Parts: sequence; structure tokens; C-alpha cells
Amino acid sequence: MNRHPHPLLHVENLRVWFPVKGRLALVRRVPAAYVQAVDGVSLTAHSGDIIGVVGESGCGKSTLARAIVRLETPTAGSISVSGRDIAAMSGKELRRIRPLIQMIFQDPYASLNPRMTVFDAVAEPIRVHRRMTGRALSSEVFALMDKVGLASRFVRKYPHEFSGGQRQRIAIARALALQPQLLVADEPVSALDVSVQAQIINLLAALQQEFDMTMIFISHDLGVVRHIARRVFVMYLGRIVETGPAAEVFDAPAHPYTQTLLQAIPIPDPEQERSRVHVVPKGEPPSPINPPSGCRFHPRCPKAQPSCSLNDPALERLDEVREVACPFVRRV
Amino acid sequence: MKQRFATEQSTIREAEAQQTPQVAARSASLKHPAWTQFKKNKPALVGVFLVLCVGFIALFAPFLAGDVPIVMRKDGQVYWFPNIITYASLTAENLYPNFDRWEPGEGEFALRPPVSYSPTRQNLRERLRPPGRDHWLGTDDRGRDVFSRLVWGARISMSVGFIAVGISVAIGVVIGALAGYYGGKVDTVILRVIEIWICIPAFFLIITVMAFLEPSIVNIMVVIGLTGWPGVARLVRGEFLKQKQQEYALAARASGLGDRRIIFRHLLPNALSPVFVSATFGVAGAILTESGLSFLGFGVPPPTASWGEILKQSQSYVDFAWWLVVFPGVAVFITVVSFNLVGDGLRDALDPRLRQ
Repeated sequence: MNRHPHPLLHVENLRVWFPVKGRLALVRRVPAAYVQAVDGVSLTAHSGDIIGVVGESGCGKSTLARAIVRLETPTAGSISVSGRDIAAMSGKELRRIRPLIQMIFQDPYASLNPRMTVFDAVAEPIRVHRRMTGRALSSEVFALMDKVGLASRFVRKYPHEFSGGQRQRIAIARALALQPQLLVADEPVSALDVSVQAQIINLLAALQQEFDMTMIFISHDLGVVRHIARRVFVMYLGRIVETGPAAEVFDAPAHPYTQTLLQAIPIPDPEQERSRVHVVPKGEPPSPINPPSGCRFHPRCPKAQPSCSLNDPALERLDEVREVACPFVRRV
Repeated sequence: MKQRFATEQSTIREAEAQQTPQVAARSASLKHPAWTQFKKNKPALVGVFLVLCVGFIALFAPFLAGDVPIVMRKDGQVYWFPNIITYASLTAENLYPNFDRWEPGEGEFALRPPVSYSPTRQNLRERLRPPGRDHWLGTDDRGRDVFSRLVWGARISMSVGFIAVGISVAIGVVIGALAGYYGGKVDTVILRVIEIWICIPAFFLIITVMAFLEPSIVNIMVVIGLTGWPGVARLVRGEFLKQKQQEYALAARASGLGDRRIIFRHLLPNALSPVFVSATFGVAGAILTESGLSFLGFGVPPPTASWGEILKQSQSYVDFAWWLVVFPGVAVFITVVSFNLVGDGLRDALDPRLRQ
């Protein structure tokens, strides 16, 4: 795994806070509070890894993804890509490193410019960064379209002429056009029909192999993540609560949140589904503007102890490959 | 799990393949949803028709009114389109000044526009004639044909309308795009400037500025254009704020494209439809402003025919020369209403929330 001295991606104590608009002070607003969308996340991905990030909506998955591709500027922490910290980069320097890290968005209906043909959408980044023109450019575009399973006769069409699955293929081709080392897929199949989801996931997995990319796969769909990811990070309210190999985390979840999350998956057999015990977490997820003291999950945790509202648990090693942010795991 | 996905995949591929022609067929009817909606709007279609009529009149004014022949044969030589050849070249050929009143002799001919009176030549024997067989819409206090002046006035109105709006759109789009795209301090400063600018009553500002400038049509266009940009800028800023959050804009940024490319290639084309709507209303406004200015004597310099100028001349004769008031008034009214109808239609057609 450690072929390189630096892991391809190393995120350390990443914090992305958004100011909540407060009163107007002459020319600029003084923030009244902050939405702590991502608060102290660390993760590492080695070259060729597929990392899954799961969690319910609003837990900061998308913000984490956008921070890694630097669509958001981190409030604190570092994001190292092949040993270079991109967290504080800006301007030309940032623009030059962007091709290394590409993203696939959730909504293929919104992520393609409605006024650009497929060819232009895929060709534009190549033209700008790889300075290809003419025949070399078009053969590169056709090659990419072939890789993502789109017929080249579609190149002059506009996005509205395609189905959701086809659009997501275009978006993948556009991301691959820059030959990225890291591909961040933010809920890439959530907006698609179930029948099309499997194709896109298998396509992503195949392309990841072929191009030897590292992939961060973000989803609230646990089955999909289990299928594709080797290592999983479970997020709750801007923090990572559990991490480990996908199979182990899903088969034997350690953190109480992971356990409740997994119990939310219905069992296909109605007999079994009716007879099993449902543990529904109490209440709604708390607001990330004013997160609970201590462990952020304690107000909803079925196994909460009095001390949970006081001590903020850090990720601790559970065994050789897993880390959990709950001091009671071993005793439970 | 992997097995299941693999077997599903082959059947789904077929399903997707069958889906494609349907998608193509559906997109054919969706090609111009705005146009489909616009066609249903009868008043807007009438507006388009009238705007095209006024535009046609403005464009072909030399062929519709004037005393310069379209084709003429004089001294054995045929002259094509002396009506659109500049006066300077006509003078050089020694055709001016008698080519306009010149009557063809033996073996000569002159084909003049249907309204064969000059918009500017005075004829004091024909002063203040009411509408009749010779002068369809009468003459003014200097014996100039009102119809001819209205036709040439359409040129002034249309060119002032379009060029003034062109100037304000060009400035407004750039400033609004910068404010919306960069946000932060740039946005704050631009917004404050716009707010201050909007507080100044535009018409009085224009009158004041025109009082200091030489009265010329170019000055009018520039001044009206320079006062109109804040509205456009606000519109574009708002649209940019919305568009830059769209995923396609984020994707463009993640691709490492330059700001200029993102602004002009990605965001602007998607932010333009409200600008079209406001520009249509802007043309109507600019035409009204020009008429008002000319009426007050700050407009185009006198011999030039402009609708507001005719109205100004009519002030002393309102009591009996009704044709000097009614016809230019109707011309301004129809033109402004037509542009507003088109603007309303465009707004309804381009706003997806109003689309059924």
C-alpha cells in the first residue's frame, strides 16, 4: 500500500464552518454563528484506494467532498494531495493543481451546462489544461466517450437530449478528461433510477481500476458503498465516528450510530423485516449551528451514559484496522 | 452482491438502449419551450408585428419618404439609389442641389419614394396644410410633410432605443457579472454605487447633461445608455448569484478553468434571458426619453426629424393643427406599447414558473 512516501490524499483536522448572516455593520455582515458543517475530519487515502463516506443527509458529506476538490475554502486543517497542502492554495496555483482532483456531482441534470454540447463539455478542460487542439483533441474526446460507454454520434447533442444515466456518463467523461489522480464522487447515483444506478457504479469501479485512480465515494446508500468501497468512514454531524474496512464496519458495526444507521436498512424478506427489532434513534439530528456538548450523538444515542454529554470522544483504535469515536465500545 | 449487479447490468443496458429513441422524440417537442409559450400570447405577437413594422419603416426610410429619387436617368446616364448615396458624393457629381426638385425631361425619368417630400426641406407656401391628397398627414409650420418626418423620425427613435439600450446592457452585464461572480467586497462596492446611481432621477440628470453637451443624436444615445446600466447590472448580479451555485458552474471551477472563461462561456449564456426581457422594456423607455428630450428642446438638433421634435413644433398650433399632435403622439404610443407587449410576452415565455 505504501508505494509512495506520501499517501495520495491526507486530510488532517479539516474544519469547514459557514458564517450565518448576522446584523449588517456598515459594509459587511458580522456573523452571528457558524454552521459547523465539517468539524475536525481526518482521513487518508492511498493510491488506488476506494474510500466510502456514509452518513445521513446534512452530516457534512457533501461539504467534505467540496472542500477536498477545493470548491469550499477550509476554515482550518490541511488537505495534502501527494504531499502538497492544497487547503490554503488560491489563484493560479490552485487552478494548476485542480486537474489532479476531479469531482462527479449528484445531479446530472444540473452538473452539465445546458448550453454546451457534449463535445464542448468534455473537450473544454482538455483544451485548457492539456493544450490539445484539432484532430488530437477530437480523438481524445471520442476515446473518452467510448470509455464511458457513449456512442460518438452523440457528441453534437445537448445535455437535455439525454437520460439521467447518459448525462452522468458525460459528467464522468468530463472528469476523466483531465486524467485525475483523485476522483471524488458525491452521491453520483442518488439522482438516478435504481435500474441505472448499478451501471454507473460498475462503470466507476471499472474506470477506477483502469486509470488507477483513487476514489472517494460519498453516499447515503449503504448498500452501494459496501459494494464499491474498500474502506468506509461513517460521518455524523461534521465528525467521523467510525472507520474501517467496509466488510467489517457493515458486518460488525462498533459505534452506536453506525449500528442504528445499519438497522435502518430494511430486510428484503417481509417476514424477517416484521419480526426484527427496530431501534429508531430519538428525535431529529441536532443543528450543526449549535451542536450538542460532549459526544455529538449523545442526545440520540441508545447507549448514552451521563459522561457522554461532558467528554468529546476522539477516534481511537479498536483493532488493527478500525477506529471508533466511542469510549464504551469495548464494554458494550 | 457483485454477482447481482453484474447480471442486472446486461438487462439494464438493453433497457437503456431502448430508452434512447424515446428521449430523442421527446426532445424534439421540447426544443423551443419558450417559443411555444410565446406563440400562445396574442398581444405579444401583435407587438412583434408592430415592432417589425416600425423597424422596417426605420430601415427603409429613404425608400418610403423623401424627395431624392430611388432610380433616375439624367443626361443619358442612369443613377441607382441616389436616395441612399451620401449627399457629399452627390455634390461632387454636381447633381446636388437640383436633383431633388428636378423634373425629368425627354428620355429621362426619376422614380421617387411613395411619399415624395423631404423630411427637412421647408416650403413656406405649403405651411400648416391639414391632411389631404397631397400631404396625407398634413404639413407643419414650415411646410414640411408630416408623414415624411414621421417616417424619418422612426429612424431616430429606433436607433436611439437600440443603441442606448445596447450601451446600458454592455456596461450592466459586465459590472453585474463582476459583482455576482466575485461577491464580497467587489459586490458591496458595486451595489453601493448602483444604489447611489439609482437615487438620481435619470430624466433630470439627462436634461442637465444634455444642456452642457452639443445636442446631437450620438450624445443622446450615450447619455441615455449611461444612465440605464444600474438596472441591468442588478439583474445580472442576481442571476449570477443563482447560476454560480449551480453544479455546472462548480464543475467548471473544479476543472480549473479561468474566471473569464467561467463568466463568459458558462454563466453568462445561462443568465441572459432576464436581460433580454429588461432590454425590451429598456428600448421602450429610451424611445420615450428621447421623445421627451426632443419635446423639451434638448434632443436632436432642429432640422432632423424626430417624433418628439414634431410634438415640440406643434405646441404653438395645438388649437387648430391637430394633425401635428395626434400623428407623432400615436407613433410614439404604438411603438412604446408594442415593445412593452413584446417584453411582457418574453418575460412570461422565459419564466419557467409561468409555463404550463
